[in-house]
Amino acid sequence: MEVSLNLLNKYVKIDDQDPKELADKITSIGLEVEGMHSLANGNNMTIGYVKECIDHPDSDHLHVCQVEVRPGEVTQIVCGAPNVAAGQKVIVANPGCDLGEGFVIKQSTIRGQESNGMICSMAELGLDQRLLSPEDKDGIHVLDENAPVGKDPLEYLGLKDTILDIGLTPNRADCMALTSLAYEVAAVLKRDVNLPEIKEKGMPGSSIEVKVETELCPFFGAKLVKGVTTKESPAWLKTALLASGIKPINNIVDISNYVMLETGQPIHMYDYDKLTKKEFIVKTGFDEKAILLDGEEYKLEPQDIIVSTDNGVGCVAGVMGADSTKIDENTQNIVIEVATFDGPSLRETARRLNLLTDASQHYIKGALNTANSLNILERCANLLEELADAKEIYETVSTTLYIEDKYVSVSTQQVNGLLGTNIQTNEIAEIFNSLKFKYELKEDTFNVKIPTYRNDITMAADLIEEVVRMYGFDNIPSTLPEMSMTIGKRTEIQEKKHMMKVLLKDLGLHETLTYSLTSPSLVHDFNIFHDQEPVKLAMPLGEERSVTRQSIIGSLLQVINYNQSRNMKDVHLYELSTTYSKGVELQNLAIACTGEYHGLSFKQISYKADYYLVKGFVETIFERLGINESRYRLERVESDNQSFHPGRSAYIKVQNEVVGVVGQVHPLMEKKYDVKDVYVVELNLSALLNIKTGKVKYQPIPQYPSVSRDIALVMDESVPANDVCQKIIKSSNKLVKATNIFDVYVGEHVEAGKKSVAINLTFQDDKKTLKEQEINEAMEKILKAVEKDFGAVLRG
Amino acid sequence: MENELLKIKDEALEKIEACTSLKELNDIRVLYLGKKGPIQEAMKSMKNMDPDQRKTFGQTSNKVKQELSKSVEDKKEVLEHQAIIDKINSETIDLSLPSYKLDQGTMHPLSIIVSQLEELFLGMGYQIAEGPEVESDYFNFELMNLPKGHPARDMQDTFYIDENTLMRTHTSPVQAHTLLAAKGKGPIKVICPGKTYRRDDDDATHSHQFMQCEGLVVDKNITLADLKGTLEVFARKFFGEKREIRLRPSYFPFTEPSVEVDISCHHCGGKGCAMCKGTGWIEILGAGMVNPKVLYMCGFDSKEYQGFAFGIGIERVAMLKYGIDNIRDFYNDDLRFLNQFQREE
Repeated sequence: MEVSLNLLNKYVKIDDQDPKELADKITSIGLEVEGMHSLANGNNMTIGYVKECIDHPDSDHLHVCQVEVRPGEVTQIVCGAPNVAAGQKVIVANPGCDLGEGFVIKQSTIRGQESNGMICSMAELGLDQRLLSPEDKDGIHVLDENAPVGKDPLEYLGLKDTILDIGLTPNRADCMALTSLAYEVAAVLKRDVNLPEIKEKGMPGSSIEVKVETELCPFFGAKLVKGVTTKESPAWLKTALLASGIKPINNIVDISNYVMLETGQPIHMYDYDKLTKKEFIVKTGFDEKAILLDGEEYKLEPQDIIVSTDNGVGCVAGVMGADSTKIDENTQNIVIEVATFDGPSLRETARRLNLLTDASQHYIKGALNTANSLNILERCANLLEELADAKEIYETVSTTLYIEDKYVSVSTQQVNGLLGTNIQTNEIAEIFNSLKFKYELKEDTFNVKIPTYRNDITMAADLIEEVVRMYGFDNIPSTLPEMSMTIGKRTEIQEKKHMMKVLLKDLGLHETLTYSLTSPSLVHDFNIFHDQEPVKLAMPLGEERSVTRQSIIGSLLQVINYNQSRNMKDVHLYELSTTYSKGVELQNLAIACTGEYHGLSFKQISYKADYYLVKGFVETIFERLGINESRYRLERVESDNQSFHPGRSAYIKVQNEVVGVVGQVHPLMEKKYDVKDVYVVELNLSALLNIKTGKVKYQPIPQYPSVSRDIALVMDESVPANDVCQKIIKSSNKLVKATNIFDVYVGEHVEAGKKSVAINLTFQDDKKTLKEQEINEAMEKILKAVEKDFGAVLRG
Repeated sequence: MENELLKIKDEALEKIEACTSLKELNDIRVLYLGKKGPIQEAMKSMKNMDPDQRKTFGQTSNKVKQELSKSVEDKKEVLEHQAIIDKINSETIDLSLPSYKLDQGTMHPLSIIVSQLEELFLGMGYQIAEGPEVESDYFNFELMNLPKGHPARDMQDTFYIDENTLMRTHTSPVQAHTLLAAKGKGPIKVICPGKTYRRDDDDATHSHQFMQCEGLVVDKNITLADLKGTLEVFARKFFGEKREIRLRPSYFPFTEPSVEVDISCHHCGGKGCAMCKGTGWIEILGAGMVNPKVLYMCGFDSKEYQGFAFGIGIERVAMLKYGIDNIRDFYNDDLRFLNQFQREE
């Protein structure tokens, strides 16, 4: 909100204040001054009198002027404006004048003619172009003939003004009214507020009628004013509007805008003579098209609040009037409307019609002080009389205005109890006085009558806020809570999640954070945990981010693609994030690896991401979570799986539940995401972290030596070698403690379709040193068992 | 006979002395001390000697044998030592070649900030509370004192899923979950870090997805001064011992009074610089005393209980702390970005 200090000064004396210091004070009480600037630029300017103006001898559009810039001091200025003429009083920027953005006026020679300054237009003073009339944009500004030569033109025009840009918090929309803002400034400066004097006027016999047929309009008032003259507003009013960021139009429109600035109440005016029935009915239920005063056609819906005239649309309440009832330059008789409409309902209408007008914003944000409505009608009428020569003013016609006095109590003890301060009762009293709050004080309890413009104060905490913002937050002490003991501890699941992040980082993976929202064309890829539909946004910003993801893998592939297209080929990532479907949120962990994982190039050592690398991550994670390998198993994915390479990927199952997947991204998916040879893991942490795990339990170190034996077994290529190892352990009378596959060979000397697997067996007995014969016996049993179950035989 | 033996000894000692390799030394040993060597041969001839002569000759030949054996052993020691020295001299490598260093992974900078916040507040007795990201309008807005049509809802442009469901716009609804779960009984002392969403177009300063960390303390005598002290601890832990904080009045529907919190600029120490736009202060978070209406709606007696709440923008903290100026960097996951967070500070 742009606030002119000159205008504010009408309501509270501030012209003796340094603008910067004043801005700081206003900010300190919660009305944040986000910026400030001068309304108009330029120093070293004077009002000049054009004594002589002739065409430039070497130009078809320049003029050479003799200008009296100070009494008795005439100088030559070359001017290009088409409207410059002898006898004008003009704004002269003298040499040295800084017009902002580095534009400094210098003495110069223009096509051979000396020029000692510049005659200025309003636009050249830095005023907002959008607010200026075409004449002010194109030509120099001509002052009235009484303007005193040599004086500061900005001061003369009232343009020597500072504009504060105040960011209002939603609870203080009342400060959109200058009077309300004045109360705040008055409180911080401990001064009085000057409200305009209002003369109540109104002849009986107003022929208008008002009716309200909806609950969405708590008050509707109208006042008939006859015999107005439409003309240009006086300079002070135009300047006041310009300084507030409003374009001056004519006196009638300007008055309604000015009253809105002053009171926060949007004013609407109807041309009385364009109405047949002189009746205003506020109601809903219109389902038709209407042309509004911007000349455009709009489609109205039954929920829109309408001020109906002559059975049609007279005004879309609080948003915009109808074209058929609008005032124009020929208007003589006016009906002024001051009404309160339901903000939320009006917001829907304004948004749908894309008409978030200045007036509608006042309703939507709640700037109104309904209790003041009748006064505001009088204020409009007063101004119409003063500035538009209104002849006849009729008494206000309105619905009943209910004004309920609101009281809120707060005690000194409550104030200090919430703030942790030791503020005295008399200090609180002083603060309420400065805010012009009326109250009754009993012992230490204030019963405060809340001013009607302060809709935000409804309870003790609100009054405490009033106290603290005036008392100053800098005066609040710093303490730490004194309270019952609480134990600061992560839950077991939070602890595991945290541990996992650290673990994966230490394993050389980079944690990513990617967007939860994805595209419908990607959302089903890699999903193995969600059976329900993805969650779909009602109004996404774009198709690309319109549904919540069900797997993190797709996002990681996008990150890999991003990095590889920037020449980083080896990418190893993980992310812990939520995945979603209707009514379900799961915590997932995903890993994606591509390219070299570890290596030392000059020694030709390189381990590239493959299935066994990511499987290793899975095993490390499970080990760290305390989930023993006997509690989960890998099961090859379906041969027609679309997301994962069917020959190189497995589900991870605990009991019969799929808790994860590990393997290579399906080559068709690799093509879709434009990546290659990516190995991934995705785990359902919500399931995994809830698995109960045993405590760490000590096992004595074996006392007797172990014996190592190597065997090579030939078996069908399709036999899982690890199953054979498991069988070896099971069939060894508990003598084989560990196996290690150290070679897998397919090729020459091994029958086609078979493979030779070399396994190292570690024999050990907890109670004695094993004898050769015992080992041989066990070996025989083992070989029989693996032959029976897997057709595996010793390599001959 | 004896003289001959001594002559052989001298000859052998000379050869041992001159020898330069272990192999040569071994050949010498075999030549003189072997079964077919001159000493052994000489000792074979002893059986024909008379006892006295045999005794002296035997002593001499044993002595010679021992002397030569020792000499061979000594020489062997010297040569072996030399061999090691020679080997070392041939084994010098280029110490500057690259190492077999396992590449370090990294934690995401936002995760680092969250985990540091967690450690700080866990240390002060807080617990970590969590809540859903797909949230009901009721929890996200209504229980936070933002009824339908409240103008402040415009401050948080929302991704709605349907009329009653949305992507949470802040972590504040976790306050409501926590309060309701406590069934009207304090104390409550939690932080709630997590992802949040707003209907904003992504640019250098806006992201439709971002992270917040809510803090909530509710008990019988919690004051605004406690909030100030707590946030001072936070500011100093994150931005340095010398940081001051400043509270400015503000508005949030779920707190009353509400404050914006500034910290004295950690870049210039408060003198004024580009980072703090010359003001010496940097806006860091929003906070306030829990609105009694929120307490009431969440089942707490607001006459008995009061508390404070704060909301920290994780991206904002990370951007200030590390000097990152584009919020999109957090979500691009460029390895050249991630790799800069190898260590936690």
